[in-house]
Amino acid sequence: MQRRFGFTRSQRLLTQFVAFGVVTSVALSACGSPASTAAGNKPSGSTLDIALIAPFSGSNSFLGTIMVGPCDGAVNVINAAGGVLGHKLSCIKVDDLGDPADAVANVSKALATNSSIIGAVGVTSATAATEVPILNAAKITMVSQNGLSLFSNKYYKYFWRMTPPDVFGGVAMGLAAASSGYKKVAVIIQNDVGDTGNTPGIVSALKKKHVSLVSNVTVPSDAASYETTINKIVNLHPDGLIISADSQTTETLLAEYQSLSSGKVPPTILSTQILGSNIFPYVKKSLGLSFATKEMRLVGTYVDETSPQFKVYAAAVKATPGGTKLASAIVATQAIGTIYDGTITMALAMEAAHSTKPVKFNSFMPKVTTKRAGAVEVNSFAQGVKELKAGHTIYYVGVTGPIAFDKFHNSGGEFASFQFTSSSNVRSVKVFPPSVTDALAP
Amino acid sequence: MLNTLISSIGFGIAAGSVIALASLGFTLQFGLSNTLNVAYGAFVTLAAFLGYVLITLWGMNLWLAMAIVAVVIGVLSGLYYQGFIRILIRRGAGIGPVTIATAAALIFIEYAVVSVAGSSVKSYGITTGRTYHFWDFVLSSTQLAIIALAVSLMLIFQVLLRVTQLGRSLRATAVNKTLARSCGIRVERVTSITWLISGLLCGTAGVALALTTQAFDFNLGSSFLILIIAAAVVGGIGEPYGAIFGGFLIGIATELSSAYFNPAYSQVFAFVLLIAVILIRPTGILGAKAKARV
Repeated sequence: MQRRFGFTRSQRLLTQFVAFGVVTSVALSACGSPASTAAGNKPSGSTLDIALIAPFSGSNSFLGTIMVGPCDGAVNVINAAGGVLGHKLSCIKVDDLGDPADAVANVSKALATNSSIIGAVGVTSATAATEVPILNAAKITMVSQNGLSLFSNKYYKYFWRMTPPDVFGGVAMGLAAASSGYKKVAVIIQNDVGDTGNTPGIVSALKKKHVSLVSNVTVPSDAASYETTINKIVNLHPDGLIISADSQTTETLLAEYQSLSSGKVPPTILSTQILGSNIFPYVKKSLGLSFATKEMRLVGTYVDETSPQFKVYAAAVKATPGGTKLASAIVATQAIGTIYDGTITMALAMEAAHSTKPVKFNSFMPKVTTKRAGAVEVNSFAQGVKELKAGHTIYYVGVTGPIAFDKFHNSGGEFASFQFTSSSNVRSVKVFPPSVTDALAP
Repeated sequence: MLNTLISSIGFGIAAGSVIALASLGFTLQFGLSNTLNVAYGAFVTLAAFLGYVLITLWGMNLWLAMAIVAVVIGVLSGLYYQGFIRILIRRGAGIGPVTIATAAALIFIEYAVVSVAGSSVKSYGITTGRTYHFWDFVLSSTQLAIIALAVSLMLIFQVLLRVTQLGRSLRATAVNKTLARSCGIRVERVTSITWLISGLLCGTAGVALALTTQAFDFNLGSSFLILIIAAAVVGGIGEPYGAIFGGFLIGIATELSSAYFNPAYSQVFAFVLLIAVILIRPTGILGAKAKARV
């Protein structure tokens, strides 16, 4: 015999209380639309938030993990210099799970419930197409780390980017294959918006460098097996592989290649986006230390590790919780470095605008970064504040080099290929300046 | 051309054996308790992570670890039925609310795994072993072992189903609970044992899947669940032999589509097959036939 719901009186009261609480909180959060947050309108001395919007769970969570150090590092440097206009800054994590659907809900919720958010960093390729319009509508200044070509010629007032589009990342991967002497290359791309953005660049660079492209396949992520696809590639006997995929898919692809080719995997080029995952220990264990340190290269945007600001940046990252462990992966990745530079730039723009409100300081983003006659070069927040207080105009040159925003608020950068050292650190092997990558772009 | 076809079928059998194992457990749960247990994917994930603890962290032998994981997941599955599903059903929750509740359980279990093990990608660090070539089939020793294990478990299940009293009770309960009860079969006990058996299969499939993919995270079961359900539905939901057949069919179809079409859409091909089967034969390929046999 089936029982009916036999609640006691106290259970009923508790249920009604919980229901009332849920309804009230939903109603309150619905009232707090992004546009009504009055971002930055806070009393002096209060803490203002920079939202680090990235995947902190799911298969790309390593990406969010390595972004924390640069964001916290920048905020610590700013706070140590006295903060911004009497306010301390703080980095808060907004988990978008690397999924556009989750991104809409989580970013909207963060904006609706936290009026202290005055800027955003992160906003990566997988979710940028949905997050940028939301942040722009909420009038939140953002420095995005996405590489989507979409934002190369579409204007959003509050959108800023110091990361080159993915297509140039693809060019650099093709260029790395050519410069490594590969003659027959197979390309495997994961079927997502970020990785497929590399394909046109890879194809164009290989063609212009006269490298034979024996296979160019796109595969779904996290499949149970890729063996038919891999077997076809093995039978084409490539002397180099280019793989652009998340770490789980990459490891499965490499394992199946190893299995189907009697243990021999050709030299492989991956994206630096995979840094921070367990790719190095995995490859070291399955393919050997020699392969991990000599046959495997990672390609991504570049930072000049000899500049004075790099040393400050590296120290700032290492001083953050978990920063020491991930420092090598973090500091070698320019796209991650733009989180640090983006946060410093926003803080300098606030100082220059004498306001922490994005509607006021947003237009000062290029004013504190563009090199022009009479402006003083600054390489740190403290130096920038000092020069501004002295009545000078400034341009910030950060860890990722000079910044020159175009009319769509984009500023590119250099690429490089990297290798792991035996102690799992990363060192740059070859730098590809913009003049070279531009010439090979589709 | 022919060698591509043959090698793809070989890869499909290897992938399909894991799907078939998992699908068999899933369809048993549905057949006996009319429950679409979405949390089954979370148990697959849990099995993979338990395997990680035993194999990678504790250095245990792979097959021993797989057996232990199977037993642990079997017990957990039984407890999950007794302490959650059975209560929902007794309270009169229909298949819709129960399915939603199992979806909630899926999220709860997966995030419990994340809170303990973290969200980073894990690997057993076991290479796939020596590769064997038979005609145009190319299979690694690990894949051959997994196929052999899957076939053995399916044969054991066949014997259990056809020869033992439990098997007869199980089949009778699947067809008509009321009639089975009036014939003296302890339906609740049979259902509980079935959830335990399905957990054993789920646990084995979880470790086998993690071995096959080489790398996995807490989404492993969720991303694999759709293939498990597809296999069960194609074969005829609630039908053990249908699930096995469906598993191999989905595995082979996925690999064949990778061979002859764009690999990016290999899983889409599996679902086109699913839709086609449902349109032509709504009960699944073995659905009506199996019912008639019982």
